[in-house]
Amino acid sequence: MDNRFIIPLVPGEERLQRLTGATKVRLFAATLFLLMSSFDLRILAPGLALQCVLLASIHPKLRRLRFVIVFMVATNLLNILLYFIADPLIGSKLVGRTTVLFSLSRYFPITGETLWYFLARLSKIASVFVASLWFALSITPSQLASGLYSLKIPYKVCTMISLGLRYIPDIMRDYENTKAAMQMRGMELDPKKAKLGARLKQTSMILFPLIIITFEKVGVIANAMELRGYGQGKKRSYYCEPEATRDDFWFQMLAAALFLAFAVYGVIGWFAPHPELWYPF
Amino acid sequence: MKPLEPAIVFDHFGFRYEAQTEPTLVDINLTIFKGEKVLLLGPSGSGKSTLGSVINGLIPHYYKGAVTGTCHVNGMEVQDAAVKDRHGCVGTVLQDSDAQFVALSVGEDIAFALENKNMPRAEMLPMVAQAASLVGMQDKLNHLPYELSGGQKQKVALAGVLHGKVDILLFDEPLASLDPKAGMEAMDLIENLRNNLDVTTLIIEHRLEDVLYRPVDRIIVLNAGRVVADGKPHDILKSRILRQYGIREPLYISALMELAPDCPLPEGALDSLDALDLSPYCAALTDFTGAQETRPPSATGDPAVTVEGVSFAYEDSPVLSEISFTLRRGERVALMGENGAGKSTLARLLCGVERPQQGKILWEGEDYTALSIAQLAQKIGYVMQNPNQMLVKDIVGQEVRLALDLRRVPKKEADRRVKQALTLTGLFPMRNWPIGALSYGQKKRVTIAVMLALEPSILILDEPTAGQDFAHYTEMMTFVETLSQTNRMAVLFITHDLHLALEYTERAILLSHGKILSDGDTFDLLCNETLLEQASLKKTSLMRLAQRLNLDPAKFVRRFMAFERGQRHG
Repeated sequence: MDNRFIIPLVPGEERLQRLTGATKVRLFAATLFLLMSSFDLRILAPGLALQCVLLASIHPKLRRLRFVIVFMVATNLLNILLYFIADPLIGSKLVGRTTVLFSLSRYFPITGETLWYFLARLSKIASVFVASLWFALSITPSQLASGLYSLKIPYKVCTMISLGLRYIPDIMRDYENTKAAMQMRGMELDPKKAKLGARLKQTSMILFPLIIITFEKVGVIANAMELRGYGQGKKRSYYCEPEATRDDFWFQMLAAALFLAFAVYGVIGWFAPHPELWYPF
Repeated sequence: MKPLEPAIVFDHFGFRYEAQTEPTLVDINLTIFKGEKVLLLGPSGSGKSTLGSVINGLIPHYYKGAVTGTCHVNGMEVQDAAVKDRHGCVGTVLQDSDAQFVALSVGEDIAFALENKNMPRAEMLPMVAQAASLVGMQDKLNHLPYELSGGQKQKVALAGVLHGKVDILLFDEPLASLDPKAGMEAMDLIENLRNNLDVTTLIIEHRLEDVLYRPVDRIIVLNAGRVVADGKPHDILKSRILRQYGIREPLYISALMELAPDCPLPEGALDSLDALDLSPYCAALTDFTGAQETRPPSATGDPAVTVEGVSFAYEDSPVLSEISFTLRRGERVALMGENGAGKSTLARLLCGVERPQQGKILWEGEDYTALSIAQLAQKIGYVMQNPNQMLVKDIVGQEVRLALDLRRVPKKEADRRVKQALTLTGLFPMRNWPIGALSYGQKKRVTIAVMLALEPSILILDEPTAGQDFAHYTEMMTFVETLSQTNRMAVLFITHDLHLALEYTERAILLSHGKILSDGDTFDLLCNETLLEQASLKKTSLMRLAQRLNLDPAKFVRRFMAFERGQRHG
């Protein structure tokens, strides 16, 4: 079956992709901590640049990502617009100053602080999005499991995540088959021939057999795992996890640096409270 | 000869599942010796899978229940030893090769047991490579499960239990999801492993003839939870007791015994056709085949569906090209070919789930493009392999009625059709039963009833006999046969089962790599060695018998099938 997801099932050949799951998970986690903790463009701007470099380093096929990218850009611009309509002075409130640059109407003044706030907001979302992209494109579900396990997360949780990703295509196929079976029994799902309401109601009927066959499958999977000794030891090793190389060392250093930046920024904020939004002007 | 050492010993062993009132295994006394290759036979519900679960330790540690008597595997009492002490020595290959592939690549799946032992990766790699090369998958370690055939997935599952010292290999219906050629490869592989690794091998199957393609040392027959026969294949076949337990004996045995009942039994082992001395039978069988060939008249019913030059591709990979044929009412046709040949896609095209990219499909002479799947369902009934994929209601009667309600068929008419469909399928007494209380075979019948209620002109049955023992198989096929005759329906069987095709169809369409390899008389096609090879099918034992006696295979098989049918009906 064709793998229609952006999740890679075979590790790629680029430098970032050849790292161990443990390194990738650490780097991604540290990045998220840092980026999520602030609205400070002094952190977000270099952060965004770094994420773009990391993404570019794996030479992603942008055509396959086009849909996700367009979707993200569109929803976030809409999001900004709604924020602005709801409260045109949102940035000024966060900074504590109001510098009106010009006004669209009496109710919609454009202030420098609000523009700055939106810039920071967009950078934050963009950098987290780009980080998620390189992460998703460079880690296989099995490496994700081994990476999480290296962070002392119980391996049963890790296995659940990778098994979920392993069987998604199977469940999709079962869904397609069940849907076809119901249509062949006379359930009209053709948009030209049945109303939306009726179609929705009938689609819900497909779920019942889908659940039954999924449970059947879960039973077999559980047996297969039990028979090969799953869940008996406290510890587990991973076949998919390559030996750590020099690259892993450097990338783990990078992750540590990012995490340190997050910690320092947090500590400074704790002892010397600064306004929620850093504004240089 | 070295003394026999017991590997598995059952002593007055019984087992009852926690949720059930009746025991599944009763007073089992059985010793299986080290290095033996044993076939475990029995009809559905005989307890053979349960016996397998006792040996591999799922019982009583995973499936709870009440145990009586004792069972020792490799000297360990099953009730004491934790499963973890045992999974190293009993390797189990399950029936569903798809679901048991838990990892994301071949290498990873083979390594699964080692990962669970927390073995360092450096030690794991050579062991995975070693196990993979035992089953011939060493070049495919990075392949994804979606890229593998059923046979390859099964090899991976097998490699996954071949680490270190394996003492016992247990195969649960290894042939169930394979095409005949892949099935032969599987039996070859099992035989090679037995010879090279010196393992005790247990095969749970009901396709006796296919298993006997390679020798087994012993056959054990289970029925209703008890061992009813235990002996050398030759003796079991000679006694002909298998038929009374709903297991089909190899057809060459039936042929030899029925056609030449007065001949003394041949010397040598009955389980190996190639080694049998057939000279005493030659005269009787040649006589039986006769000089004149009687061919059935070709079908003359109205065309129900016509396929004209249909091609279809998923994205960039072509699945079917230039397919043309006509199905007539009252015809029974077998659609055969290797896994992935495009059989299911063709069925989906006929039902309108997929639409041809080139060519057209005519229903009763009319192009079907404008019809939705639901509208086509009035003309064609597609019965899927797994009945659970089709059943949505709680009660049998409601299930059959659902499709009629969806079409707003008037109540009186709907009542009539439901009753008729239920009566035809023998389900009328069970019309108020909950679906959950039905057996697999009964559910399958419900799905057929569901389709019959729509009164289609064609019925497509996808592997109708998969997972059913011979008794249920015969019951079901006889019923389908009657249907096609009384309702003038065309029936298309998608199947790997050569005997089904020979017994119940007059015409076969062989697909290979998306093209029609041949379309014609079932006997002519399925007794043609070149065609069989190209379509990943195998020679039936009847054909091999005919060849050894220098008889015309198609003629002999046709005569014998007619003879058997006569016996069954009269």
